[in-house]
Amino acid sequence: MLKYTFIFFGLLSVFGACTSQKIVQPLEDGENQLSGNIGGPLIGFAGTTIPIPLTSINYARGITDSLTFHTGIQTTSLIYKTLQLDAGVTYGFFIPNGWIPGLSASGSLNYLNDFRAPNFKIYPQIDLNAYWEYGELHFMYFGVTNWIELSNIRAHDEDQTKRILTGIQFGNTFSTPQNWNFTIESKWLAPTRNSKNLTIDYKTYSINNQPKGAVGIYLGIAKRF
Amino acid sequence: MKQLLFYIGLSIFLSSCLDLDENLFNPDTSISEYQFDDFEGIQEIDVSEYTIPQDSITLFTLEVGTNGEKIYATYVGDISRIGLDTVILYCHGNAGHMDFYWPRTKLLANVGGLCNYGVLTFDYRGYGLSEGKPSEDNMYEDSDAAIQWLKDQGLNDDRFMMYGFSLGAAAVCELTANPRTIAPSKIMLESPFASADVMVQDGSGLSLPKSFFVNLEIDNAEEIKKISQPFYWIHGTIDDFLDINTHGEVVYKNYQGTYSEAHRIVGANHADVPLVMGFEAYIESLKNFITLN
Repeated sequence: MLKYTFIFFGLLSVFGACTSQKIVQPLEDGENQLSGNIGGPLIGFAGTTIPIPLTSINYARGITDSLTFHTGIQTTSLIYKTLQLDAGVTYGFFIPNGWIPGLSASGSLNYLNDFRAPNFKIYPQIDLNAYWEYGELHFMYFGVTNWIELSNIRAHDEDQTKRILTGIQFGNTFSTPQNWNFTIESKWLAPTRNSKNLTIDYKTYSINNQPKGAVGIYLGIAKRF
Repeated sequence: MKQLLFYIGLSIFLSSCLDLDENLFNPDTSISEYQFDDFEGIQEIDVSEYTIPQDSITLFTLEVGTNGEKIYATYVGDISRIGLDTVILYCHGNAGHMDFYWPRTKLLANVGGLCNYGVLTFDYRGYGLSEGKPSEDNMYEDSDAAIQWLKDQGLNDDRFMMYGFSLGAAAVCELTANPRTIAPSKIMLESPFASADVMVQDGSGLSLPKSFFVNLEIDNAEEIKKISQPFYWIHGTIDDFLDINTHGEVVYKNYQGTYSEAHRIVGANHADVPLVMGFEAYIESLKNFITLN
């Protein structure tokens, strides 16, 4: 059967939590980081599989050695007339020690405002990551992200039945002595939600032959200073 | 400071220049002529056992829009009897063109017997050989041009039925809820979507409003509330494109008119409802609805 594809719903799909992790390893006190990210959920498009090219620019600053403030703007959304900003903090509970991972948690607020109608949305976000350092400069991480839906209703006054959009991510950050970081991350968004009956042809993992959520691929580059 | 102002200005410029609306539409313009039964491209259902006599097929053009763009339409039946016959206006879906949907047109032309009812179908602007660009407004305008043509041939609203499949449901709902020429006496919606809002929310996993992404006003779930004409809804239970629960059921639930009937076709996907239901059962079901007093 010909798969119908409303192309734009693939392009537009912010899919909420569709960004890579802002800060996993807290910055040092007074340290700054400027970063850019690109990537998004994998979709079937024109006979192939591509990631939706969502982009963002982010800034972070170490408040203490274990607390980092971060903020960002989603630039692809902006181009399509939606301002999407986020701000939050990441707290490092402890640093890694050999095979024992470091642990950090982030609390953020995501603000979305569109330029077409006076609509805005706010989504609290809570992330938890374990990370392992290796090779003196690099680290890999694994964690969960959660976007919290505050609306009680969906479109047409239908009940809101899904309050939390969860994702599982793992990634690797390579660092240079010149304080450049390069990150690659994969995220499985909404792994418990059936994504079969959607207008978007997400390429994702299946459980019991049912495609679940969406798998995203992200690339990031950052400079610490 | 100048740099900051530059980047703010650039951001505002960028934020004002891109829209996703046009990308809603998925037309196929690869054909050089309409071939009907001879079309060898992809079709989702095979109804080769149903035939339409060549002399009952009329391909013609309509002029639409301020620039007089040509859109192509096909009437199946006897045009000279439009003033007497019941006619179904078929508003097709988002993929392809009239040839792609020709099997569906043929099924409708067999409701109640071969060419018992006239069937008019057409390609929206930008689809098939129709000129112009597809847009939501153009889709409504093109559909109304087809209605105007039927009215010019003598059709009145008592004998006028509209059938919308998928995207075509938007044209049916809009022009029934807010008629521009004549309103149909009954409507049939197959695998309709509820609204752009629902598509965004299903796709994003969050309750985001459609206005975050598009200017589209398509909203069948709200327009159906204004419709009092009898309403026939049919939808596959395993529709993997427009979920029956978040789309079709919402449209059906919001209908507040005089009569409605729902056909949830177990095991049917988005585009194979007539096939899974069985062509004869599908045709009979439509006949019963159309002849309902």
